[in-house]
Amino acid sequence: MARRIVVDPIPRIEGHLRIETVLDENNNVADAFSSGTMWRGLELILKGRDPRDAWAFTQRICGVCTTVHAIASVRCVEDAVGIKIPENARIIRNLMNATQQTQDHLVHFYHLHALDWVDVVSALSADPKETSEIAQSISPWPKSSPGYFKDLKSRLTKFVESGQLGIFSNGYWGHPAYKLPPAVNLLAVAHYLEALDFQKEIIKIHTIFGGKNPHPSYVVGGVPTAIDPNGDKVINVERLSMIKKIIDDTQTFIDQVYIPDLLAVAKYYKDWGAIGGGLGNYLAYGDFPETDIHDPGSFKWPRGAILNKDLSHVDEDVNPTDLSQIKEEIAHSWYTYEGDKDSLHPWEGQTNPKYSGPELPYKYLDTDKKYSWLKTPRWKDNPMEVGPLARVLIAYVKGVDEIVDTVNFVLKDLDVPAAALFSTLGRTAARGIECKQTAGFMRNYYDQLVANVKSGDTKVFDSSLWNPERWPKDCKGFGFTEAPRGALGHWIHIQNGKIADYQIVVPSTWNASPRDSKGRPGAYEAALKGTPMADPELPLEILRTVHSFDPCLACASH
Amino acid sequence: MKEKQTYAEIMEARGIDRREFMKYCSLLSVYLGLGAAGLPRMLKAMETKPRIPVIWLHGLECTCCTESFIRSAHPVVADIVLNMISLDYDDTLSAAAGHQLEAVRKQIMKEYKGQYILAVEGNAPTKDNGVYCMVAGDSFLNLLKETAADAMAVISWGTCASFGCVHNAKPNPTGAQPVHKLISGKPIVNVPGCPPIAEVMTGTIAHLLTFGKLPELDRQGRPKAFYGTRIHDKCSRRSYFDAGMFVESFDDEGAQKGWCLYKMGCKGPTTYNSCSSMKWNDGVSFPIQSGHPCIGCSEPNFWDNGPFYTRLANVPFVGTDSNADRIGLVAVGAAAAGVAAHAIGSAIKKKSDDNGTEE
Amino acid sequence: MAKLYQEQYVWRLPVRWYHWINAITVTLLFLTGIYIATPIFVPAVGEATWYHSMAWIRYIHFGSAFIFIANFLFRMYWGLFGKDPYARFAGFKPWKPLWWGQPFRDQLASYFFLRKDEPNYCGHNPVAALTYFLFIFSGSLFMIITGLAMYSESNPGGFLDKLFGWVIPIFGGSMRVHTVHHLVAWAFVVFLVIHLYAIVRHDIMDKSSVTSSMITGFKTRVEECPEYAD
Ligand code: HEM
Ligand code: HEM
Ligand code: NFV
Ligand code: SF4
Ligand code: SF4
Ligand code: F3S
Ligand SMILES: [Mg+2]
Repeated sequence: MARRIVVDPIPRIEGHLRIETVLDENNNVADAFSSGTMWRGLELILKGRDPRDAWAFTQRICGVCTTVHAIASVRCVEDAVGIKIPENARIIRNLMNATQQTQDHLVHFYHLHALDWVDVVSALSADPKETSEIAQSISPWPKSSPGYFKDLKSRLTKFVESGQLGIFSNGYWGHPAYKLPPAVNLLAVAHYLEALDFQKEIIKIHTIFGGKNPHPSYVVGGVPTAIDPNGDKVINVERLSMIKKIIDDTQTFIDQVYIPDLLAVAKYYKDWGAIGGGLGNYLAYGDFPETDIHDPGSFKWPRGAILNKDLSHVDEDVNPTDLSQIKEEIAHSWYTYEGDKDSLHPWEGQTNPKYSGPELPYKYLDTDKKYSWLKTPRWKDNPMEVGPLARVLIAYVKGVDEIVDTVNFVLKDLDVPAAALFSTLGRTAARGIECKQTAGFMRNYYDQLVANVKSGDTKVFDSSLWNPERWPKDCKGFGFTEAPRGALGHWIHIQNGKIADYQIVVPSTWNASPRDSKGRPGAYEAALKGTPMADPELPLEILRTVHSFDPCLACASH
Repeated sequence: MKEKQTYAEIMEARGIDRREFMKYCSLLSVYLGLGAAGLPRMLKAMETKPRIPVIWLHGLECTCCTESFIRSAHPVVADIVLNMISLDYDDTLSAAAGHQLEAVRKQIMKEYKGQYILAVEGNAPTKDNGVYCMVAGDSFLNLLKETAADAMAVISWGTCASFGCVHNAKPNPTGAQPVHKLISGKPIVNVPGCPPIAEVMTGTIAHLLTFGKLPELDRQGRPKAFYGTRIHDKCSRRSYFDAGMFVESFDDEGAQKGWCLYKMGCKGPTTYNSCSSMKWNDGVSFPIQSGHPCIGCSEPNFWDNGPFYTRLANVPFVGTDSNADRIGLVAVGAAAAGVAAHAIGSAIKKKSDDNGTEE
Repeated sequence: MAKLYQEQYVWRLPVRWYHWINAITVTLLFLTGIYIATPIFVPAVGEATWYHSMAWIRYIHFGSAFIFIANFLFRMYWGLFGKDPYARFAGFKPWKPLWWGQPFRDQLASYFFLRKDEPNYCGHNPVAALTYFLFIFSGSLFMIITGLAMYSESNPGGFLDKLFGWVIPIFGGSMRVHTVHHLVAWAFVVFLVIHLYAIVRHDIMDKSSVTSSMITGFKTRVEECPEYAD
């Protein structure tokens, strides 16, 4: 009998994910099932409320990608009632979004993903001098002296010897799939800690504009923080220079720590350039408008879709407001649709929870039937992967200059073909490439903001349609963003100034969804197929591929 | 098991000298409202106590409490996780997965019976047997109860665990319940906020570590040190409140001058938190400073006390959303109408009475 | 049909003082309270420290509140211990079925035009007593408790907080206390509308000159005063 391996809980993600796999006789994953095991009912809680409040509710879907739902939400309300936000608001939102993406990717790489590749215990046997030499050979980052690593090593040794291993307890240390030499492991542990310290600095840009992070403030019609270059209360020169400094430091960290580490680690795991490819269909709504959110041509991360790993063509016809393009199915999800519909466009969407899984506690889910709290989104009836890899591929095919250069540089440095991008390694590399690119945007936005303010434009909010009495009695809107994990959409229906319906389709819903009505797997499920396992008891390889998507299950089923 | 390191030893091992260690402790002491008097006690605790094991569970939540936690500036989170506590089980940071991870939880519960801290982020759905949040094939509700049984104390992180937060906002589709309604017989500290301020979280832990017990709590189970006063009482815009100088619309003249956000719906006058004193993310700002009214995110029921941009809360009234003034006006109108009708009745009666008298 | 008219001293000075102090403070409390919730005056120029409009309005609210409370307490004392037959609460026993008996029903029937004649009372008629109990006694008590609870918030751990702080969690947070305090404020306006109408009406209908009675103290007695059971 085929062996069934269950991994639940999956750690180092956001939310509650359960993976069930079936192994073949060679201990390769033959089949995989992805189940989201939490649901909160945000779409129902939103009904009847003031659409201007929706951003705060939807923001609480996730505290990791803590800005993107707020952005999608204010955009969908603005779209519905016809608000055009001022130029400064566009720039500030872009800057906040870019900040989020950069910080989230950094945290993902070091704190959520790294332990899949880095053996902490092996670092104890590293020669600090060797680590120092490696560090200095790949980067000018100053914290690289032998003494620095020696100190770290002795701290680490004491920590491990204390017997209290904390977050490292029961990790897969010594697993044969770990390939890094001790010296590189030690380097990675050092940067794990440095990144933990640094991530909290980047996010201060959110605090400046939104008052706090996680969950900074937004507002329908613009941004809440006024600008007065000569004032002492709002955005002024002091705050602007603080932002500039943060952007400088962020770019330095990415260029001198993240990217060199990524490449150094990837070199030992090139075999993962052929594992975990999955669907081969990629979708991006695009984001970071240079003009207006309704002008996809101006997006710095372009819109489009790639099917069947075809790097010669991007389908430009991605229109989430077209009722026939995006639909959510529930064939394997614990929901019902009135009228026995198979699939619904979010503007017609329904959320009627109905658990029909096994009685608790259970050993296995009944994966032939319904087995997840996630719905199953489809684009033109295709299962799609979204996220950094999708964005990078679409930009690459569309010939966005910097992306083409960076991707080619990485491929060359790792000495792998473009096809290696369709893989677990590709996903992880794309996230780094994107992080570098988006951090570059941050500088642009800073410059744009300063130029605008210099020219005397300090407007950040459009009040003309603030009052719901001036809104159409019945209207629908779509708001979206490219979240760190991919294409995010919010669809709203407003009646008499109140939310009549609100539907959210999230990047991780696309990626972590269960099978559709035709039995076709979601992106995680597809990517896990064929994963070799050295020891079925120790699911390290499963974690690698699943983590390469950066799962967020609270987002995925909300 | 090997000899456990004390905090002082860890500091020393990290090359941190005695002076810095003292500085760090006095900073903590001030944060915890202990002042200089608390310092010796704290030093002693830090120098002699091994790391407390912590099991950190996630229920219905958004993980922003963890995210906030890792933004702590003093102490930085690496210090806490590697040196102050032993964070043995945490979905968000743990290396182990699946049953290896569950094994850690079980082991800590056994080995440190009555000595570990249970930290809970999020809350538990109680409807339909708890199927709205399942971990390792069982309900989170069961997991929570099981893990709480032998805990020394429970920390409820965030408004979710403390009061229910967005998940028990109307109509509470999953029957979500805060921790203190599900666990009894254990000391529980509520650390509300959506999320709580990082240094409030780490400060609460530091207190526990120092004194081996929970900080002093208020009537709603919150540490007095951090939830003792309202945002409004320490708000930098307060002088504008008293003066009656209010922002009337985002980006208006008042907004640019930093006037009071009361009329934009600010809930600072009814919200207990440290935002206006400690501020966020290493003191950079807080929502009100950055121009947005406080939405009251550390208060029970704050989602149902909206809408966020008006001063008066919505009050459901005969099937519609209304507010105190609208309901009041309707009631006065009804009384006036009743009086008018009665007056007409009285006039008719009087006429007939008078007629009767004349007869 | 002839009626006997007779001047009778009903409202002694303490009750009259109570009444007018109460009337004035309630009016002030309501107006300032509404202003607190929805302030309108916004100074156009100058510095925050030049102005205190909000502070003043709140000051008036709290000042009136303490006079209101003292006045209320005094009336409670007078009603319970005062040697003033018309001001005592002794007769008010709604928990006894007898209280809801004939006199109450007669008065109610009269208000609903179900009775031809108008019962006449020297003190409060039982329906009036019930309204006073609901609106004035319960209403005032509610406003005082919620008001003091909110007032205590500015000094956590202080005297008032120790006495009234428990109120806040009962309602589910400070915001909810504001909301109920605000809602019940309107009950006083509802009362006033009915109160003024009832007084004017009694004047016209049974010539008992209730209006001036609260100033002069004298009511015009029309019949024997029926007593309800003690
Ligand atoms: C112009 C305004 C007012 C006039 C002319 C007026 C007149 C009177 C009169 C004549 C009575 C005696 C009624 C009886 O026989 O039962 C009375 C009683 C009373 N009135 Fe008023 N009133 C006024 C305003 C108010 C206001 C604003 C309040 C408070 C909200 C109030 C509260 C009361 C109370 C509590 C009593 C019962 C007195 C007691 O037993 O101590 N009145 N009023
Ligand atoms: C008939 C009596 C009273 C009326 C009609 C009244 C009315 C009001 C109203 C309408 C508000 C605004 C509530 C809001 O929406 O925030 C308010 C606030 C308040 N009232 Fe009263 N009130 C009365 C008695 C009292 C008493 C006895 C106190 C005791 C000290 C009190 C203390 C307060 C306080 C502390 C506030 C909050 C002020 C603030 O938030 O700045 N009130 N009142
Ligand atoms: N999936 C997802 Fe999110 C992201 N990125 C949201 O839209 O993480 Ni919580
Ligand atoms: S309290 Fe708020 S921030 Fe914390 S987990 Fe709950 S929703 Fe997220
Ligand atoms: S902004 Fe809010 S908290 Fe600050 S003074 Fe005004 S009402 Fe109070
Ligand atoms: S919204 Fe929350 S973060 Fe502070 S200022 Fe208000 S309590
Ligand atoms: Mg949805």
